[in-house]
Order: sequence, then C-alpha cells, then structure tokens
Amino acid sequence: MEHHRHDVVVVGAGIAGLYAAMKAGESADVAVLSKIYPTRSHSGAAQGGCAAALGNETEDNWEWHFYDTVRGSDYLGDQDAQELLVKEAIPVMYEMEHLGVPFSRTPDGKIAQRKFGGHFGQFGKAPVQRSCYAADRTGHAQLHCLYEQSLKCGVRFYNEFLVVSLMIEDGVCHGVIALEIRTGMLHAFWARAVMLATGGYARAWKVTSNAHANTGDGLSLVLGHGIPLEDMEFVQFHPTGLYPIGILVSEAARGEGGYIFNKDGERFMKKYAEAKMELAPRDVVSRAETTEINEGRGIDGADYIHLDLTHLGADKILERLPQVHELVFKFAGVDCIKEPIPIRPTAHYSMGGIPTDLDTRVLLDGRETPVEGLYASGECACVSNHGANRLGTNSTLEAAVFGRRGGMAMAEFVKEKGPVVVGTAIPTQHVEDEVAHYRAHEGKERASVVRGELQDAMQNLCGVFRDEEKLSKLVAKIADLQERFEHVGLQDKSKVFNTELNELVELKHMLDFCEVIAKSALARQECRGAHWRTDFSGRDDEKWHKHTLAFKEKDGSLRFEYKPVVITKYPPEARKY
Amino acid sequence: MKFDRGHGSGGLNWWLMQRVTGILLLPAFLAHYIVTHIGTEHFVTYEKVAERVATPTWKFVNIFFLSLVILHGLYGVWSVLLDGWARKPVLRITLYSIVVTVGLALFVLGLVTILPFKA
Amino acid sequence: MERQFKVFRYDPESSKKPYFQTYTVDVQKSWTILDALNAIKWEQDGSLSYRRSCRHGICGSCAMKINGKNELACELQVFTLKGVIKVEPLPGFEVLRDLVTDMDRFFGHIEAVKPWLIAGLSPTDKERLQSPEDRKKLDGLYECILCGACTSSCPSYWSNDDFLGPAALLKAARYCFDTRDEGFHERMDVLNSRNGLWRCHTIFNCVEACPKDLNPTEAIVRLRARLAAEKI
Repeated sequence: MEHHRHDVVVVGAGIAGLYAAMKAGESADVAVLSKIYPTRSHSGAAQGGCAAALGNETEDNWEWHFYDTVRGSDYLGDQDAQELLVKEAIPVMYEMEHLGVPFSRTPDGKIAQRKFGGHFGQFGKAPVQRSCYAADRTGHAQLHCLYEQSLKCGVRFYNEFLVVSLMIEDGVCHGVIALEIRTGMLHAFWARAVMLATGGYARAWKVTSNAHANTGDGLSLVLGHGIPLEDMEFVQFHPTGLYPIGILVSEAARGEGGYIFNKDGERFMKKYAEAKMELAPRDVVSRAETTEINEGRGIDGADYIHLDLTHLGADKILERLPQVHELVFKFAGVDCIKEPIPIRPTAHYSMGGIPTDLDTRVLLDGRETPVEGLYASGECACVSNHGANRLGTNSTLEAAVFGRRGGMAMAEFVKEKGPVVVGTAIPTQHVEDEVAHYRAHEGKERASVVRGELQDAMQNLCGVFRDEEKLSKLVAKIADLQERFEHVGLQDKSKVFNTELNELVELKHMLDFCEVIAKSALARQECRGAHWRTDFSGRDDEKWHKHTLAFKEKDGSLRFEYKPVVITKYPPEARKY
Repeated sequence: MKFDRGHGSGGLNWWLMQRVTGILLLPAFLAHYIVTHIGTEHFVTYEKVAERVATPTWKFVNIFFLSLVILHGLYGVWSVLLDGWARKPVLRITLYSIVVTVGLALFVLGLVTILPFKA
Repeated sequence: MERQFKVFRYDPESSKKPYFQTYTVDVQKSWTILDALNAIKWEQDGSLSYRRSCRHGICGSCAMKINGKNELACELQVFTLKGVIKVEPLPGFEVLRDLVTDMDRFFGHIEAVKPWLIAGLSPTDKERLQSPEDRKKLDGLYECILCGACTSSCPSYWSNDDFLGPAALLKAARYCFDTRDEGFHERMDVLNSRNGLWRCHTIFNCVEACPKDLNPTEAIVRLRARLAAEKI
C-alpha cells in the first residue's frame, strides 16, 4: 500500500468539495480524491440557479429567504443553520462572481435572478426573483469555475480514486484508504482533516435525476464507525423529471412561467396550491402530480403529465432555458417551443445525511461531540438546512456556503494542530483483505440484478406516497437483497479499471443506506415535507417534530434516537401555498 | 500531466509571414499570368520575355516574387514536418537545415537566372 | 429489437492483443448507446469497462468513437444508426482498458492555459458589473463539458500530442474574451508557444466532433487575431 500525506483530504469534487478544497488550499496542503474527474461531478447538472437575496431584480432580503427556507423544510430544518445559509448566501454569491462564474446579467450589469418554486417576498406573499443563474447551466458554470480555482490554488487532484475506508480511531480521523481505479492499488492518505463531500444517493431509485455516480458512498462509510445518519427518510422527488428516464427538466422552466396540465388540459395545481400554483415547493407539486396520475388523469391515462412552455415563445426559451430545450429534444424528441414536455416526479435530492455542526464537523453522537478531523458538507451532509423538503436553488447554495465554511474550518484546524504524522498504529490490513474479498467474490447472483431489484423496490415502496405495509415489505426486501449480495459473483478479474468492482462496492453502500432509509421511514408516523405517509393524516408536531438519528450497532442492527429541532425564530405553523 | 510548451517562440511571426506572403502571391500570380499570356502581343517568344526581364523594375519584381514563393512554399513544408514528424530535436534540426539549404539553393538558382539578362 | 455491437476490447493485464467483441443486445425504443453498453455490462459481460456518469450529456464522461465519429454515448440514440454498431475508445489518446482512455494529458493541457479569472481587485461587497452584451461574448465558450471529443478528433493533435488541442484553446478563449479578465498577457507565453495556437491548421474536425455544438476553431482564430494585434 502506498502512503501519502496531506494537511487536508477532500473526498468528492462537486461544488461542496471543491469550494472546501479551494478555501483550505489558500493556506494548507490539500488533496482532492474523486472517483470520477472533478468536472464530471453531478453538481454540474444543476440547472436553474443558486438562491441569494441580492434583490437585483425585485426587492428582497435574507429574512424573507430565511422564512421561505424554514417553511419549505416543513419546520424540520435547524433554524440556526438556515439563518447562516441565507445570510452567507449573499457574500458567497458575490465571491463566486469574483471568482469568475459567468452569471447571466440584468440590463444594468448585475447578477440576473429568476423566480423559483417556494421563494416569495414579504414572508410568503408574491413570488420573488431570488435565483442567481447562468442561463440554465448554473451548476456547470459553478463547478468548472471552482475546479479551475482549485487548480490555481495548487490543490493536488487524485482523479479516479474510490475511497473504500476511513481511518478513524478513538474518535479521531487520521485519513482515508482509497482504491486507485486505474491500477487497482490501494493507497493510504494520511491527513489532519478529512472532508466527505460525496454527494447524494437518489441512484437508489429506479426513476431518478441522479448520475450513475450518486451512490451515497460517504454515508455508509461513516455508518460503520458508529456515526449516525440523520433524517434519511426525507428524499425529494422533483416534479419535472423527463418521462420516461427521469433526467431533470429544470424548475427554472416553471420559474420562467411554465404551466403543468393533466390530460383534461387542466392546470391542476389550483386544486393543490391555489395561491402559488406551479411555484409551490417541490414536495407539494410532486404529490399533486402523483395524485393526478394515480387517479387516471395522466396524459392518455399513462403515468406522466405535461409541462407546457409553448406560451413563453422561442426567444425566451432559447435565451433562458437553452439546455432544457436541448435535453428534451435529444432525449424525448420534443421541441418544447412547439409542444408540451412529458414529465413525472423523479427521485432527486437527499435532505438527510451525515450529521454535522455549523462548521461542518461530523458529529459522533449526532448531537454535539465532533469526530476530530472529520468534516462533511454538501448533499451527503445534514446540517440540517433542508429539513423535510429542500427549496429549489438552495442545494448548490448549501454546497457553496457550507463547503466554504468547512474549508476555512479545516485550514484553521490544521494551523492549530500542525501537519499529520504518517502512522502505523491503524491497521490497514483489514481493508486490503476486504477488497481482496470483493475481488474474489464468487457466486451466481449478479450485482446488476440485485441493484435493479433494490431500485424497483425503492421506487414502488418508498416513493412520493408511503405506508406501513409498503415500508415493511421494503425492509424485508432489503434484508433479502443484503443476503443475496453475499452471493454476487464478479466476472471481471482484472486490476486495471475494473468498473465491475466499483459497482459492487457502490451496491454495498446502497444496500447499507437504503436499510436506514426504509427503517427511518417506517418509524416516522406522520406526513412531513417529502415524507408522506398515507396511513397517517398530516404533520404531527407533538410527536414528530424531531430529527431521526440512525446508529448501526456492532451486531449490524439499527438503533434509533431522536433529537430536537433547533428553533430560533419560527415555531411550526400550518403550511399552505 | 504537465503541458510541454516546447522551446522558443511558437511562430506568430512565421504565421503572419505565411498569411502576408499568401495574400501577396495571389495578385502576383494573377499579374504574372496576365502579363505573360494576355498582355504580350501575339506569341510569347524568348526574345520578348528576355527583353522585359532585362529591365531593372522587372528584375526587382521577379526577385520579390521568387522570395515570396520560396518562403511560402517551404514554410508550408516545414510546418507539415513540424506537425507530424519532427518531434525529436536532432531530427528537427536536421530537417530544418535541409529546408533552409534547399531554400537558399533555390534562391541562388533564381538569382543566377534572373540577373544575367541584359537589355 | 436485436442489434449488434462490435466493441473494442483491451486489457493490459491479459496477454491478448486488442480485439473487437460482438454482442447482440435487445434494444428498447429510445435507448442510447450508453443504455446498450449498460445492458451488455449488466446482463452479458461484467468485464466491459467504460466511463459514464450523468447520462444526459453534461458531465462529459462517455465520449467515445461510435461508427467512426466521436460522440457522447449517452446522447446518441441507437435507432439513428444502421447495421452493426462499432464502438471504440476516443482516438489519439492512450487506451487504458477497453473504452477507457488516459485523460491526464488532456486535463494537464486545460490547466496549462491558466483557466481562471485573472483580474484586479473586485468590489468587496458587490458583484463586478458586466453588461448583458459583454456576457453574451461568453456564449459558445463557457458551455464546454471537457469530454475530449474535439481534441481527440484533431489531426494536429494526433501527430503531436503536446499540442494544446482545441478543448484547451477553447478554455483559454473562455477567459481571454471575458470582459472581466485581464490575464491575456499572462497566458500569451503558452498560447504563443511551439505547441500552442499555431499548431492548429483549421481542419474543423473539432467543430464537427463537439457534442455541444461549440466552435473551437473559431475561438482559436479569434485568439490568434488577438495575439497578433497585441504583439504588433
């Protein structure tokens, strides 16, 4: 095993990881490990924008953004984190402009802003233009810019390294062990500070907007070290996934004025969110769509409905939504200037994740004790900004704001502690054995079959609407798949670029965190945000206004604890749009 | 993998030279064609051409034309060699020497042809 | 519908020379080449290696040569191609395994053009102003996904892989033509180097290869004009 030493190691190279690397790289020796080349990260697929109350187009201030975020989260977000998010959004957006992000502009040269679902002025009144955008390629523009800035800072990139283990001992993180995909060799990376920025996990669903790489690797890595996962039952379904494959049609399409219709040509959102219509938050719109489809009002009775942009006109579509236009044409053969787009909800974003404090330090008990030297930010983390439902454009914002905070916190920590010493105390042999075991996997089962069944089960039993019967079935199904995983055979015996081995490791991660999702969802007996139980009516603040923490015990079973939600300003109220 | 910028300058001047000579060669060719095949009365004979070439103006024009053609043509050959073949310094220097030698030789050959004409 | 795929195979660990392997796949309507490759890997032969991630043409992982043209496997629909479909790694890059090529040199060249904004002090508490017209100058430059299809299609790059290549030069243009940027002089040494701008012969293969319909050749020509203007 080859050994490397850096002050800071960042795992994952999306917006959160790169922002952290760049910030820490200003004073520390930073390495980024990514299983794909950094610019391949799924942050680049973010389209619509990044929220900040700049007030460039319409009057706005951070307190309105704060209120919307709290309400959007169905009061499950921690308000200290949310306040930080919306306040820091403003300087961070300016910083990104200074770094070179090619934002679209207003006529007077400021960063252009557009409307988005769930964002309103005057505490929930009229829609406000808050989403800063670069056409509909905002994430792509930000990701590339941050990658390039990291290069400028001298950040060392280890591309196509798959992290397989964390070196944690007695509550201190000393680094990670990673598989170099190109050679099949294992490398130990010793670091004073490690940040997990491994992204989301909606790949566990069959219909998803996520990339193949979004397998939630960081989550099961920490779970094995006794660190809990928080609020895993909350997974967002985006209302406008392109039918049938589920890739994203940006919410900007509705922000710019798109309508959604059922088969009767009815703008059915008026039944579900009379005031805000298409601009209601995503959980509300996804439920409305699913209800329409379930009640037979999908287009031609099939399981999709229509997103109509035709009234916006060619000029606006081509200027503001060029990628949407390109995508729906390439993948559905639809010219959205002339025809409506077939859409349905698609698994999109994971609100839950690794519990952290406001400086992105991972919390060993999920409450206040940090693991020394371990950080997490972006979609894999749960601060919790998004609670039970995330507002559109708050995701790249969170990645930027908290990635940046994490980078600064790590730099500070390194300064305090000095460089790391390459140790020998931590046994690395078991990781070599584990990988060798994976390689030697023999059996009749195929990883793709197990994964396919898992994705089907998550889709059918843990979707927009859930109930006890479905979730119990799901728990049993996952246990069965975990058993079958042991009999999965590996056909590829090569050490060089063995992507079958990667997929096997990723499948193990998926099975691990899906178990947590299913059991967390089964335990939470209420309807809140993206977690909607048809066997319970409405939100139950008395019993369930609390975060779920799932711990993995030594014997492999899960233990649940709950912790209170941080309320600083807005106590729970009824949520109507 | 780090980018290798290679030695020396990249060839802005040569690139410009190629464009300028190219542009100049166009009217030069046209003029050559007109003067030789249309402007000359009846048949083109050695005497007629020799008479014209013997004047100092035409000598200057022809030497200029000759330089343009050699520069433009050989730089074209050289850049093809640079692109595809001449990666190693030794080979590069050898080929460069050959190109320059050929160029000089052609120029001298042209001079000894043009200059001796007398009115 | 059953379709045949003739796929390039190579494993440096095996003693076999590179070869083509033919797979028959039951292709569903609206499948892309990537869907077919996934079907091969997941249902027939787990040892087939290729890169993929976003599956909608934004991450740039899955550029490969399909029926002789550089394409994104995730964007190209199977039904648009006739007969046996030949799938090969990107040309001009070293093959690591099957359809996977070495991209390190490619990314090294991107880094060489200093792809970051080089500008003086910015206002501390506001954005820099840029008019919509000035911002428009970046359209056609900033959308590059770094898939490598263009550089891999460039004959000048085939013969000299030290040449920066169209992708890196397009990236240089993205910053040089940003009205906020003042770094042209800093980038000039690399652009004007022996392996820089002048190795392009305006063959236009890059324009044809780009899956995002960008025009690296035009960017190169504009950079040359700018360089010439600065130097003279």
